[in-house]
Amino acid sequence: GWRHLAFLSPPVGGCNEKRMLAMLPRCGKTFAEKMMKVEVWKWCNLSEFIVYYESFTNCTEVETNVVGCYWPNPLAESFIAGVHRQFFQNCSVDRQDWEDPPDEILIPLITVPVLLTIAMTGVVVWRSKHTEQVL
Amino acid sequence: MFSYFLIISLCIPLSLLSISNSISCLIQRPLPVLPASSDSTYSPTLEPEPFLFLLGKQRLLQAQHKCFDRMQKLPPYQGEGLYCNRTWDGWACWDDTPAGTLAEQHCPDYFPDFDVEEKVTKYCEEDGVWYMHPESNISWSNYTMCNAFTPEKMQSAYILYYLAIVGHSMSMVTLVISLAIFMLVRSLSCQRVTLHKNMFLTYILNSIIIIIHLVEVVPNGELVKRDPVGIPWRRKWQLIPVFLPGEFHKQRSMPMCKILHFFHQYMMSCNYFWMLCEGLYLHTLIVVSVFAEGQRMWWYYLLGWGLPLLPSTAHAIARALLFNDNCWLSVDTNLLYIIHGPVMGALVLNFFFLLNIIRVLVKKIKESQEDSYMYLKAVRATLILVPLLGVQFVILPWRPSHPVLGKIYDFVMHSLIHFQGFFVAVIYCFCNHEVQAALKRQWNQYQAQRWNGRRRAHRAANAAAATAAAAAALAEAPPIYICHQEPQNEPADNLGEAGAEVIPMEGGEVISMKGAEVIAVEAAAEVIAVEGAEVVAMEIIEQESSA
Repeated sequence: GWRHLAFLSPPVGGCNEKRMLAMLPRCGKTFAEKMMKVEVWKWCNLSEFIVYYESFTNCTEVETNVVGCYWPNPLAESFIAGVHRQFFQNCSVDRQDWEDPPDEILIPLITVPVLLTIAMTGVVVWRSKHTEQVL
Repeated sequence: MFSYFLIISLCIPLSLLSISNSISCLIQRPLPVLPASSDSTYSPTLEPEPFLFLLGKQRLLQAQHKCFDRMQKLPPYQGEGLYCNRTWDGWACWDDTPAGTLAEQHCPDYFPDFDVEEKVTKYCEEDGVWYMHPESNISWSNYTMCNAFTPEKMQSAYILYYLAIVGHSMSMVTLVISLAIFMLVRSLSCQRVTLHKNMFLTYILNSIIIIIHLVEVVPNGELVKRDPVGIPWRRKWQLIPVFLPGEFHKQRSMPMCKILHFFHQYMMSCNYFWMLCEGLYLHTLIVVSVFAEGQRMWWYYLLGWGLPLLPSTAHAIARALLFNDNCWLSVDTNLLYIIHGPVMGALVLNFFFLLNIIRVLVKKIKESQEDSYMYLKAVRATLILVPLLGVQFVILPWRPSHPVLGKIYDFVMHSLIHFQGFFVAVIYCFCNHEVQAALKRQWNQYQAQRWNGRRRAHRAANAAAATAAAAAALAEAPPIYICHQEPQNEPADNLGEAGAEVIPMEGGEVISMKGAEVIAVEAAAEVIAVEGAEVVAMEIIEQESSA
């Protein structure tokens, strides 16, 4: 499957790098055509066009393997990097990673419920003493 | 060495409860084929396919995209000397590495059999070139550790999963039975039992939510025994499996699992806050010496049901705004302490209340007050339960790394945690002598109702009337071990030696202040005859029903 495909060993005969460099731009062109159908502001959100990205990746793999090279290889990598520069230059890197808020927000968020718990318990204890005096 | 894709080639029907897409058998398939026409009406999201295959692929593509972004945005190599260039090896992203060093990172989570705790390594040779595998002459990263131990880990993960389901199911069953007992047996109603009932309710709801979560998350139905799907167990506080299938399809439109997560957190907090209410009630009873039935219950309702709303809502809002990951399942955030902080605070407070109670009781026992033993017995159940509930938070962070010890630790901790409801029900209800006595009484009444005692009724009527009256009066007084009863408040009776006196006995509590009717029956039996005892019981039934 796709997992297996990533590491196919090259057939005997070596790697025809020139041919690879000639074939790879076709993948880039197909990808560019498909990306034109996606609105520009969605270009930084991978889930919007993930199928096109997938087909682009597969295309580069196939073209690389056809000419007898392994994937990934430095030349294919630089080609893909070029495509990335073309489309995703202005995207921020960490979009999926979530980070904790800074301490100034985090510490009050944690301590306020804790203090409320203690306060509420104290109120209940105090009221129970008070009840006895009333009765 | 990458032939573990065989593990993926299983047939695991995934039936999902709340997600509308039903996903078919997961089999090994070739690359997903794009639809024939890529026109503008086709939405560029992944078509519905075997779920885990799809999820792994999506993660891989995201990682690749991020890697290439990162590779062009990171500044050039700053150090001196030879180095290996940054690269994407097909599964993981590698930065510029100095020559002669071994770069490592955590295994990716694309595949069910990859353990994210394990490390993948890539060696940069001394001449600034990544290590090439001798057979194929391709630069090669060592992913062997990622799934080397997976079969055993999966097996133990599965055992723990089943343990969780069994634990929560058993807890739910015993709790429902206990709740029914408390609600149906009227002689057991008092304030303390009301607290028990509320606590049992929170445990039942908690177990229901967890079972739904477990059943939804992991594929149910026919599981292939040889190679089960891996369940990532890297959770610190919540020992339930991580991923919720299908959710990534609808990250924007399906808040269901977040709502479920919110209720789960709320119920868990309620568990501990009701435990605090129990401790608080005992404390007020014994240390502050407010007599029974004199406390206002609505404070406890507020503390038990109302207060946990605060941290739960705060956590939900903070999570939604600041750390809105998929289904809020991530445990790598300190925002979880918004909930666990108050819970731990409640446990610590409870602990101090109990210490105080023990201190006061020991003082009273030393002063040889008779009823202190009685208080001690009433407190005994809570004394056992609070450490039982608290141990999860105290010991959990220190899991031993030794494989065998780690497994034993996992097994013991999971048993303690998932069977909590069961322990609570057993200790508070089934092992409680008052409950047992009340049940026996009910059973005797039921038996007696079947007997035809018309002839005997006549003979025993007179003697029975007196004892029945006294017994009925005593029956109104709640039994002593569940519900507190001040000795001076007990009504005077004419049974003499079997009266309201507390006789603490080792294992002999059965005889001392048990159900008054039993004593009445025994006393009456001495007066009349043995065969009249059932008749007396019948008379008592009639008295009670008429009262």
